[in-house]
Amino acid sequence: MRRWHLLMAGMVILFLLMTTYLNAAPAGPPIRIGASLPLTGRFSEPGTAAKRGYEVWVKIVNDTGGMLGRPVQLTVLDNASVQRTAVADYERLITVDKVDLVVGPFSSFLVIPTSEVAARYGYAFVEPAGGAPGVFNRGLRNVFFAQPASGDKQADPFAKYILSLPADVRPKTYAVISQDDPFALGVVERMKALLTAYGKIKLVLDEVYPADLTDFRAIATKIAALNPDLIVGGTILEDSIAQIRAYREAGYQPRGAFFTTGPSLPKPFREGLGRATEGVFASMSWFAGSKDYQNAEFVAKYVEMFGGTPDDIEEDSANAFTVGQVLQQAVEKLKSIDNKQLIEELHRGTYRTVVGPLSFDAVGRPKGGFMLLQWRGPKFLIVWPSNRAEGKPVWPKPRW
Amino acid sequence: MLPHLTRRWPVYAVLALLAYPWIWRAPYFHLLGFDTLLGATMAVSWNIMGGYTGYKSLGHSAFFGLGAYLVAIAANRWGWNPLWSAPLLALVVVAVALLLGWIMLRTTGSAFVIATIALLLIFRLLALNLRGITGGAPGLSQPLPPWSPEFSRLPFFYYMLIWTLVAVAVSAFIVRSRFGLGLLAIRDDEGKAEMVGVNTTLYKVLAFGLSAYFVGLGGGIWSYFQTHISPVFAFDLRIGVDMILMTMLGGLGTVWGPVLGAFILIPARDFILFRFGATQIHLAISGALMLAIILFLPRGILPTLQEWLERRRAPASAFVGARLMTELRDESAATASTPPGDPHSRVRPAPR
Amino acid sequence: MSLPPTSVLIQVAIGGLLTGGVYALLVSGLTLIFGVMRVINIAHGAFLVLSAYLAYWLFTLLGMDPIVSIAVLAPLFFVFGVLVQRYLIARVRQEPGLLVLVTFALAITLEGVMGSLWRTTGRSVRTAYTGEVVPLALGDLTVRLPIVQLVGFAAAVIALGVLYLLLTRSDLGRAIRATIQNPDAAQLVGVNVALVRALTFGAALASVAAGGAVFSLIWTFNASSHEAWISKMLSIVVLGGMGSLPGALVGALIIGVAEAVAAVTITTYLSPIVSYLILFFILVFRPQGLLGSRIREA
Repeated sequence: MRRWHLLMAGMVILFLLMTTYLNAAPAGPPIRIGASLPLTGRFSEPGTAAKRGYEVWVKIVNDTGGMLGRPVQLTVLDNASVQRTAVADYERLITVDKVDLVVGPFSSFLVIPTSEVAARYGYAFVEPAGGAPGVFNRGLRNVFFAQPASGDKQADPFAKYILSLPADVRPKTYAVISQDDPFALGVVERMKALLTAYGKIKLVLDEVYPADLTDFRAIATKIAALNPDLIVGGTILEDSIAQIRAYREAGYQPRGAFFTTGPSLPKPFREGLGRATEGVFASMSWFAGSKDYQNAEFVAKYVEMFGGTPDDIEEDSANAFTVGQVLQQAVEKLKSIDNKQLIEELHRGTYRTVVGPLSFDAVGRPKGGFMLLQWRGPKFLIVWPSNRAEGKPVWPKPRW
Repeated sequence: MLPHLTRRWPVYAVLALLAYPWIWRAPYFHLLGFDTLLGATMAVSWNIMGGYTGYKSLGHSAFFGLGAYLVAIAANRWGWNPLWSAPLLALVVVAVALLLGWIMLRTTGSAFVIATIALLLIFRLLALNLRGITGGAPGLSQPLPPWSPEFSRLPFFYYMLIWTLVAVAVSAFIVRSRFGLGLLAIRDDEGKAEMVGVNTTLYKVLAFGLSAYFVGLGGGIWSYFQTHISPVFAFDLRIGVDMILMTMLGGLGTVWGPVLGAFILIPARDFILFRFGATQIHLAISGALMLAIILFLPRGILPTLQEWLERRRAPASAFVGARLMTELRDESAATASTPPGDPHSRVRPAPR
Repeated sequence: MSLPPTSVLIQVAIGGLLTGGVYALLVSGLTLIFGVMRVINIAHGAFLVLSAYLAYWLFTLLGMDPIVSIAVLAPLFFVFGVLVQRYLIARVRQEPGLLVLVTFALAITLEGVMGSLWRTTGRSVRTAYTGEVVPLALGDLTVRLPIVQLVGFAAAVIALGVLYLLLTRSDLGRAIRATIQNPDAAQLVGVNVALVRALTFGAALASVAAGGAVFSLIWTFNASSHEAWISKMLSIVVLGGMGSLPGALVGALIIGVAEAVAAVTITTYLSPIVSYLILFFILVFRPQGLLGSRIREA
């Protein structure tokens, strides 16, 4: 009798070991996925962050049994932030390396031409960071933008918040100053539509500046003289820091400040400005403390692989991770990696991701919305929507 | 065997290029081939000004970008097919270059080089600012080519091949013409050229305009090939630098040098990008390569190679001067003392 | 185009003058190199950014104020400059078109190296006094003077003063000025022209090292910034007159003010076109600039 028990116990243990082993080590030929990222050149910082996001996703997938039971193998090429290299990379990945699936590069600049290469060969193109209007108005059916909403919608939460303020504290005037970049201009154009056309707030200055401008002192003096209640900056990162420094020097203290990108990269933003970050608003698609699908695993694995703290993780890494999540769920649902079917499936389904549930319209625009965050002391807190908020927005903002 | 090959090698090279896309059938290789031919065409064109005339422009990508934008705008507004509009609109680029050349070619030496850089920067800034026409920083998209995806690159490849050959033919024709002789004279000594009656200003302006033609054309075809262009990439200083690098590597002021340079440099660069891509090292490599060429191979591969071959085969050389020298020496030796055991020494075929 | 109030114009013009002073330091080496060896050093912007990076490094790693770090960087760059001149510039056929290409190649090599060392995020030094201002009352108008700009301006004045003394009071300075005027004659009267050229290149890089340290305090930069800066620096020296040090000073002040005023009257976007157009038209129509001698080359 005892032997019988022992045998049973042994078999159970063996079974458990085997299943964990099978779970951990996916079998079969690998599913090969290709991407070209700007690891050098002017988009190298976010491009490298996106690469990390993809790598974390691959690690998690392979640790938990792979995709369709097959391991995932990722090939990343560097396009040096150059369009023609990016195009050449995808050509090569699809026709020479013959990868099974491709995922997108960083920034609308590179997404626009490369998504066409993918379209030509019938590949689904889920991408982490190409949300400019130009990505969606070309009638391609294979592009899917893996953020909560198209880029210009970053204006929405802030505009809604401003228009919700009681009439006596609502700003009467505002100024817009934006870098000439498809993404930043998309946001500020929409902001103008919402605040001026709809909200009747007066626009006192509307400037666009070139990407290489580093000195904002002169224009800041002009803005200080106009003294608008609200400043909206269409920025990338360095320019947001240079702008705020110049506003301080010029003695301009607005009642509210919103910048597209910059405040949303907490580490360099804080390093560049110190306490002057106080009260600045920005929109974001993701935050480290999110309770959304797989976010805890993503954050833990990221820190394990690349060190640092959860606050060091950039949004771009999370967006790249989101691409992986969308792709994986679509593939598992289909039980196939056939790109044609995959495109149809991606148009149909809703996918659980670290930025919340995602679904796409006919041209691959996601149907969700962004969150509004505000700098409070050393922290960048979610202040809208209320079901996720970590604090209430402060208005008017403290001096910078 | 060698002379035979030397005379016919362009034919073999063209045959090889015609066959290339069918041997390496993956569209990636067609893309690489297209890029190489594009680079070769533009380098040949740049060489007319930089090599023959000796005025090294760093800002030729201004004409590249101009061609690209003209073609894209014409395609979007009036539906002009880039395949025929590119060669046509490149004439507009030439007109612009003639006008600018007429202004700029009062300068010489480094002042000219700096002026070409300034020109490029002004063009780029205008492309960024004239948003109604150029679409600003986000750039312009064009309709996709109508042919089927599997062969998408093939027509571009052959089309570009035609233009490469035309460019080389034009370049070869120029260097053999009176006009070309005038350009070479300007390069060697502008003052003397002027004195012997070369209208240096006219020659320089014409050479500048001509050297813009194939660059503008290349820009036009490139913009159709890319389907999307933007100021930062179309008016990129590096495109012009590549033309210089290819020309100097292959041989400055030679007909085939720029082509050779392109066929070495562009595949090598692709290789470097794929191999060392993860760092910004490729930029440093381009720079270091340029330094190395200037320092150690200042005349480029072809002239150096030719010189070396001539030195090795000096007596049998087809080089007129060398042959003449040899014969004069033989003649004098023969008349001075006829070697007894050599009755044929006086009987030589007439020089041909 | 609408004209902003006078108070804005005054404030902006004063800021432009302070900026212009720093520009003068940035370009002093460029014009000196041209004067002595007729080389347009396209790599000057890259050296500037390199020095700014090193100052940034010294600041973040050791907490050294960029102004203090000049004492470290200037000698380092001096040696660097002598080596570059001796082993690179002097070894190339002395033909202007070719020499420009050499310095251009050097610039992109440096850019590649810096890009791989420091990546592409824009950097700048944030000291305790960054963003603070000194108010200056001019009648009923208060002009706000940013401390970083005042410090930068003061450093520039001191560095330029040292350079001026070096040129006017020392034997080397006399040799340099003789070489600028006529290299052949200088050689004849016993000036070691090759040595003077190497030392000039060293001194020029030392001055741009000081400029880079100041730069890191005032502006953000990354490896590719040098392209935009070299075009601005060239406009300044071309405007002032290639090879003329007083010309560079005048050109720097004019461009500094013109650019700031253009930013508030036309647009920030078009303001760089002012310096590009100056560059283009001065080169074409008045190559000697305001105070320089004509660029004469074979």
